[in-house]
Amino acid sequence: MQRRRFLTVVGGAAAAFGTAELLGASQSGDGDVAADSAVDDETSSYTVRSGTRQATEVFVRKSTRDGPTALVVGGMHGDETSGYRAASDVARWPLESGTLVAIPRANRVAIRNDRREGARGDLNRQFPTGERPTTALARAIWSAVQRHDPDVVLDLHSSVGIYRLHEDSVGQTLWPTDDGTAATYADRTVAYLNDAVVPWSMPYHDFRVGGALTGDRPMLAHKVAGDLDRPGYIIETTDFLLDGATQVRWTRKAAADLLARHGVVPAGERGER
Amino acid sequence: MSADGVPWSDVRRVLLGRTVWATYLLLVGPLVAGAVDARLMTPLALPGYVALTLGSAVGSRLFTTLEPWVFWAPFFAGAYPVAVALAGAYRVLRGRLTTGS
Repeated sequence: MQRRRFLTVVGGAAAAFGTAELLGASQSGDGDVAADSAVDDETSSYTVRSGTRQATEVFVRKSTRDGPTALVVGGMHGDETSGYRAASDVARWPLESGTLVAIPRANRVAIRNDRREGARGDLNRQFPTGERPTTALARAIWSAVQRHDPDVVLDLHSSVGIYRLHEDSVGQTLWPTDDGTAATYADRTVAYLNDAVVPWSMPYHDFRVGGALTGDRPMLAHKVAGDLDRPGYIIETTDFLLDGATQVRWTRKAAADLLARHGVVPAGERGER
Repeated sequence: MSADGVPWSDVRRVLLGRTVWATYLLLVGPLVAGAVDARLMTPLALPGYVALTLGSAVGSRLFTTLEPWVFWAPFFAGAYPVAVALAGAYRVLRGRLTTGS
């Protein structure tokens, strides 16, 4: 496996003390994940599409305890704020085991413009299964996927409405790939979220599991299913009746639980309550 | 006097009285607080939550180009007649209880 590492003392210190600022990350503040300094792991980062308007960072965090590799992507759509804010938080999670690769702001141009689409259209429609991704940015992201060879991929999004309630909305849904493990874990994570995270007084905001991602659409998670035959998930929260901080928190909870089930355990965070 | 001979003060009380506004705030306030921060979403917000969520679900099917947040407007407007009705029912009930006692 090819890996470019830039682990230095300076880099480690920056990760420990300054990554949140570098990432523009939101504050966790709710005890989701333990303080950075408690865990001994190594961090590195590199930039894809360097020197272009699309330049974006890939963060790699490796626990001292071996384990699977997870890749988390946010910001495929620039107007889905909670996705890239949550991914920015995930990028600085210390780990108990495994390796976490995060591309928190995949589509920098779209994020800057607060638009769904970036310079070359909808980034999450540029990953046809069995073919080369159709734009340079999509190819760079897919190259990162291939480089790190993840055991699981999470793609963080949000939607204006709630799936099956509002027209053309997919919020409050986990979409697993058609890998059998993913569907099972999605069921368990949804049960956990509905039990421990979503208040009982918001029954329409209960999460549900969407149909399996099979590779039949040109989306990143579909390509993970179609080309890699690995577990992957799209996590969708909703903007409807949810403040931004709560969306980010719920997205993080979903991500942490799924990661833990796949053996990439964020320190201080457990999949189960 | 109104055209029907009902004193304006009574009309004003029925439509704009303190009970009406208190009821309106009770319907709308907890939901607004919960929407600002979901940690403030208490069971008090449940009536408004159900009304807005189901209303926006119907609305998004009737007007497919509109985003669900747009339906806050009819919710705010629709909560008013509900508040008038509830406040009226409250006054009638209170009147009967007072008469009975």
